[in-house]
Amino acid sequence: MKESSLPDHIILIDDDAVTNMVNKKIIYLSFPSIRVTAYTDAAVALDQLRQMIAKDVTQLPDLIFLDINMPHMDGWEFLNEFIKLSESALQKTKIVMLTSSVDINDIEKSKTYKPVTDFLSKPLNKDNLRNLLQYQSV
Amino acid sequence: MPLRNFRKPVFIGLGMFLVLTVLTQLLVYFWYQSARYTEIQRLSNQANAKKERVHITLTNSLSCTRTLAFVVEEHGIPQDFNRIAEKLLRANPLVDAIELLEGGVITHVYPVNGNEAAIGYNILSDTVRHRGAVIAMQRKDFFFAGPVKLKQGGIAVIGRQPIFINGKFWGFAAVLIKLSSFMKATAIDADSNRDFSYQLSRVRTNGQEEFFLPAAAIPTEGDFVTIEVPNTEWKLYVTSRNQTEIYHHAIVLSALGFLFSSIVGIFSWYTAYQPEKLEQLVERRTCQLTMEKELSDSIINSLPGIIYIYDQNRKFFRWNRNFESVSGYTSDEVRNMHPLDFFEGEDKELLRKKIETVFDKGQADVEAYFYTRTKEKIIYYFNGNVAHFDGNTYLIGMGIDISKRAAAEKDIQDLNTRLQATIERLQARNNDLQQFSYVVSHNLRNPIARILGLASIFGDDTNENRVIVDKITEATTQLDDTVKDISTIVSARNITEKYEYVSFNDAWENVRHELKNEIDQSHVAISVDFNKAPGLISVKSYIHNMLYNLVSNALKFRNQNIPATISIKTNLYKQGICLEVQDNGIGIDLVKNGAKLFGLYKRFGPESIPGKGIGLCLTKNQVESLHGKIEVASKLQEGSTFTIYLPTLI
Repeated sequence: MKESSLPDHIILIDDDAVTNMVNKKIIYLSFPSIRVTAYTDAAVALDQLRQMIAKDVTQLPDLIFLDINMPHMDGWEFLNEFIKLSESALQKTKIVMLTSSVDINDIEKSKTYKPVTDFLSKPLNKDNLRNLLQYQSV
Repeated sequence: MPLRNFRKPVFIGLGMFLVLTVLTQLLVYFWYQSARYTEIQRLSNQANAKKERVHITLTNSLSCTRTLAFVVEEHGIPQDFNRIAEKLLRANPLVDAIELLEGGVITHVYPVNGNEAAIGYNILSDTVRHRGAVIAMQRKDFFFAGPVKLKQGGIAVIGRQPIFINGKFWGFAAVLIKLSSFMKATAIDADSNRDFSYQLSRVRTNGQEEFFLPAAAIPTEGDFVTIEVPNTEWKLYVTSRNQTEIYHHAIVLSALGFLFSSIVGIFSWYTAYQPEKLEQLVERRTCQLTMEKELSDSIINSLPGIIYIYDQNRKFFRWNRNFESVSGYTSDEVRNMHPLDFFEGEDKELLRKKIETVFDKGQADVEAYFYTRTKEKIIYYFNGNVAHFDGNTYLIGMGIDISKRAAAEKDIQDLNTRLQATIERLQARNNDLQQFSYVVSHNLRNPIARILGLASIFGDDTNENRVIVDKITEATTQLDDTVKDISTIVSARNITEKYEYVSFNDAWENVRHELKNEIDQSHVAISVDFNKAPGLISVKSYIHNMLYNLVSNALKFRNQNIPATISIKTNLYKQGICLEVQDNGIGIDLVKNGAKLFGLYKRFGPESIPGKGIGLCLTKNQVESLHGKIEVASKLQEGSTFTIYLPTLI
């Protein structure tokens, strides 16, 4: 664990570009130092993660905000592939579900994935972002 | 039953005994009579012989008295009486003494010795003893008298010859023969003969009979012969000593006859009793068997099911009353029926095999419809067992009416089916709700979350703010569309439109017109066949929508690499009509997407293909509101077949 209280790098995975834009803005408004990368396709994001592991593990994000309902590859499919990645990625990168779903089944299901640390309902706002990041850094 | 009583062995035995007894006793009687007759013949022969002998003996002694009488008549009383007497005695050794009587008085006697007491005795004066003398006088001939006690002692018989001189009675010439001598000479003493016994008697003047021989039994009973000895007053009795022997023989024979009759009687009774005993045994056994048959009959008749027995030739041998009352056939008809006559259709073959199984393996059971005479069918459970008796093999079968059970089973089955249907419906509804919840979270909450997010970053930057507002407007429009779609779907579940006859052909013409461009562009070959079910009573717009969505999907998801074909046809199924749309398009991965296929906003296949994911959802809701169901069969790269089942309204 890094000594720094804040994550260096956050990845946003949501098929809705507007949502990504809004979330990026919210993170920037509160923590301008954090680098944020957004993907509208989970498969592309997964591919990027694999490249990072191959080239430079330090490039891996500290946190991923993951939506569930996405057309090409949904959040569950992404998780299924993610847990197959190397130990280093699993150690460093935590996943927070960020979805419009209010389905209790989805919350329970997400807890079965070890990398998933939290489940947030859209939209992201400054308060729950701050709570989340402080909790993450402890 | 007199005839039967008559036949009773006791009567046969008794009758045999009586007849034989009578016969044997009669035989014995006749034998006895003939033996007696023979004996009497023998007795009289003997008696005559004896009489002759007595007569000869007496006649011999007669010569003495005659000679003496002649001398006296011619010459008067001889001087030399003693000399003459001696000569006479010598000639007749039997004679013990010779007397000469003048008048009735004994004047001379020889030998004098021992007879002196007689001299001077007048026999005519002795009224007791003079009878012989008187008879001789009257007869004027020789006459024997006695035996008398002699004056001089001893017992003797006396023969007297009356002497007449010049026609005038003068006296007697007499001979004395001692009784013992007489007896000896004539051999009539008691021990002289083995076969006969004799008795001499004399009838006295007072009529009493005097017997001379005390040793011999006085013949008062039994057979005897009497004969009068001439020139005497005697009667000679001859009795047989065999007499008692014959009697005893007769008794023994009679007893033997009785014994024989008894034995034959008992034997007859026993012999006659054997068949009787056998008959009784047979009767008892028959009675027992009848009772057992009645018992078993009443048992099998009291059983609720049907029971039957037939042999390997499938010939009915026995059956219970229920069998007749259930089948409706009379016993004569059943006798000529084959077991398979009670079954029809597939059951016939099944039963044929089962019957063979029973005869091969010993046991089998089956459920089958039993056909009565009136062709009413009743479901029965049959159980057959093989049985051997009387050297033959039989099938003993029993059938139980299980129609109640079968009905109950059917009820349970129906209930289960209904329950299953309810469960399926509930699961479908649950699935719908889950999908709705998904729609809510995704299609409703997504735009809301977006609006909220956008609103939260609304700030000072005017340019950015314009973009934000635009995005908010976009999200709001999306929200509005979603609400409209949901409203459409929900309203599809509640039919507000009227039911009417819907022609598939008319519906298809409308759809074809609406999809004219797509059909023309895709060069798809469409075959249509509504002949089997040209139309139905339903909601016109729903049928139209179903046809539109299915054909539209088939067009959209066609395989670009091959000539596309679509087949549309209707058919009849058990409860109604089914509409089938088949294509040779790209197909659907049902394993992956099967559950979501009919969900709202579910889209499959390439992104390039337009569509919101409402069509199939709406179609499904409309089908279900018509109480029907929609099914899909599909294989990737091969095509899909959608089938809509619509029950006909009754």
